[in-house]
Amino acid sequence: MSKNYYGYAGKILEVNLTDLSFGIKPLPEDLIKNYLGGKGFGAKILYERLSAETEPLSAENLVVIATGPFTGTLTPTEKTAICTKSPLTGIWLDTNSGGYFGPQLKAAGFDMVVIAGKADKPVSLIIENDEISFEDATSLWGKDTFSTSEELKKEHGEEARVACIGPAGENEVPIAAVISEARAFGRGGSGAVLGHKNLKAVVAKGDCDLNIYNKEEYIRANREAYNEIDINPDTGGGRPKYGTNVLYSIINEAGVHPVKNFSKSVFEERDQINEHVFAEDFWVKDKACHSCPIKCSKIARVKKGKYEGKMTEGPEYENTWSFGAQCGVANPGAIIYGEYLCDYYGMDSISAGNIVGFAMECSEKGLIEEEIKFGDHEKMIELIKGMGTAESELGRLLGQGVREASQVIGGDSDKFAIHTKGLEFPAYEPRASFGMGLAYATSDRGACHLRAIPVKDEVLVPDKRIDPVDTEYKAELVINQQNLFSIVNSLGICLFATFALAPRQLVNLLYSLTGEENFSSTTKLLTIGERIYNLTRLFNNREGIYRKDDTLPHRQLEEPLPDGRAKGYTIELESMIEEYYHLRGWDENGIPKKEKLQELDLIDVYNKGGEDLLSM
Amino acid sequence: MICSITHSEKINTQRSRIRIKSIWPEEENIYVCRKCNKPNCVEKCPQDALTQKDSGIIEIDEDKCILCKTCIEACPFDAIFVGKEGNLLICDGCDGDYECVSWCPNDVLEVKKEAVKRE
Repeated sequence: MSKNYYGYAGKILEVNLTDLSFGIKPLPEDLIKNYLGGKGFGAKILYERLSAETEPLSAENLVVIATGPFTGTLTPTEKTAICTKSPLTGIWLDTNSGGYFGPQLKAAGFDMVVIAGKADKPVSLIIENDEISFEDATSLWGKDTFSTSEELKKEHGEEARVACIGPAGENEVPIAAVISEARAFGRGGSGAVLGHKNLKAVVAKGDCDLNIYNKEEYIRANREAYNEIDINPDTGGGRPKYGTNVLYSIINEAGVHPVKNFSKSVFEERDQINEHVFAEDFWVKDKACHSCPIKCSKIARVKKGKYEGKMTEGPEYENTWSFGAQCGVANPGAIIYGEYLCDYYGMDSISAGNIVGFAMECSEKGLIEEEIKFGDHEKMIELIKGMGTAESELGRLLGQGVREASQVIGGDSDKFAIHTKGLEFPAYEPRASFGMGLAYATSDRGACHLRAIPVKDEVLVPDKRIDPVDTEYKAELVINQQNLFSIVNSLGICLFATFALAPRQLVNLLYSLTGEENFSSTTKLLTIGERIYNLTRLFNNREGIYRKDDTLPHRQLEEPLPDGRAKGYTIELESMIEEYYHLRGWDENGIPKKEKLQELDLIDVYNKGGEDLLSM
Repeated sequence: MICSITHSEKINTQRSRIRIKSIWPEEENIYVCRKCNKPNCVEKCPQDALTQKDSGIIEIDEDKCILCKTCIEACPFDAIFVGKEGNLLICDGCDGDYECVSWCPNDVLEVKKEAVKRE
């Protein structure tokens, strides 16, 4: 390698599954400078190499597994991104996971793997430094993600890390996830894309060096970062103690925790599954991702009752909701088992729970024959299995997601199919948190709490709160977060770490690691974030996504919340969207204006990749 | 991570003198030199390449070492590794600084009293 890379491994692995070939290329300098890593790399590559005609489940679709400069380093926490065109939404998808797979991929010498084609029988991709091979995975096909990982580690050594799909991915269930030792690239169905490509697993291990640009400064910046995380009341207090469930009671209190498919906001049995219950009665061990001092992950074991012996890594706040209040279930054991099953089959546990709640409402309204009542945890578990295995007819239907399922079920079920652009809502009620509503409506992958999380400023911070049920400042807040989080998802750092770290500290860590001039100030970094978000927007515009799609379900727009702190409210979305487009520099139809693309150096990229969408 | 940076300026856990092996979900083991009172590695080394200092630290004489790996097999704690360049890696205590101990965010590691050199 002629160039000396700092913080980056310096190589891209390109794989074609159709003829089981591969190529190794140096990581282009302009890709680093302008797109940072992770999501940014994926956005550039997928925008240029896919088109509106590319079917998500096809040999032509690409899967980009991309680390960031912080992945696998001393910098606290780690994330790695998988980017592709989603089979659930048909649009842009990036899905991020912590754990240990990304760091091993980078240790093997690759910042990124680009996967094309479709194998004619199941294979695993093995990456051991520069030795790339394809292994027959016929004997692994049908196996759950835990045994798949165990078998591959047995074969390739315990230091090897495995990202794989389970039965859900193999069956091309649109909510299928990619799992790496109970950490999930969860949302949007990347597992189904790999399943279609007959790629069961990617195994990575290696011993390549990463260079540091300025060791003394980098060490100093990390000391500061570890200290900040330690003294922060969230990352050094509540989150290590309660995991992501640290949010549970406060979100409930604020009336933002959706109940029974978003039909209300007060869950009477909420204290049976609150953060204290899990911390005191179920958690047996803390878990941490690579280089993470926060250790928000927990191993839970059920010690008695119907689900005795069941365990999971979790449950996260999102699953405590999705298999809890969303389904009217107040049984901690069922929640733990539900989350475990999603990892086992390789399936998104947010969408899965949202869908079960949807099915329960359909059933109670007589729109589907099967009797599935809110609160019936046995039925909930049965439906999770049904979706994961795609064996029952109802399971197959529901696994398509609520948008698709509501089209088949009919009636007025589309009015309470709680999704945006096909991606099911996570655990925040927009009528009680207008910022979250705008965040869902404008998120580039469909309803998501991780492109912007304004509820933090509306409800979670003890001081400087802004009114959750007002539209003021929300557009600006959401845009700033979307730009910042685009950087976070490209850096290979966890969002939670950035709750404690100021953008300036991210710059200190990044610049001392990479020495890249384009990363030397927060302004420069935020421009990269804005560029990435505009590029994923262009990707979606190309798929036919415009203003009509930046919306919320009928329920949030028209049905007043019946209870809780925001009782009587619907969300006022329109005015926020208008302000959002204006501040974004997008036209009234939600397309980035030419001047904005020029400002962000996106004109050339746009010209190469798009039809003529621009309103000049 | 901090171990490899301290000793080699590079980020590479395979250069580290302390290793963690974890088996999901609950098993996690740390492998690092315990500065034994009667170090088996020193005793078994056919080349006399290893000596123990007063602080308990095992010192490697790179000129004498032939990488026969006898010490690796002799170590009851699996705490001796082979580095990328084929050199032995044994914890040297960072000249008393013990960077791993000072960076561990969970206070898992602790330096107990300095070992007494064997008789």
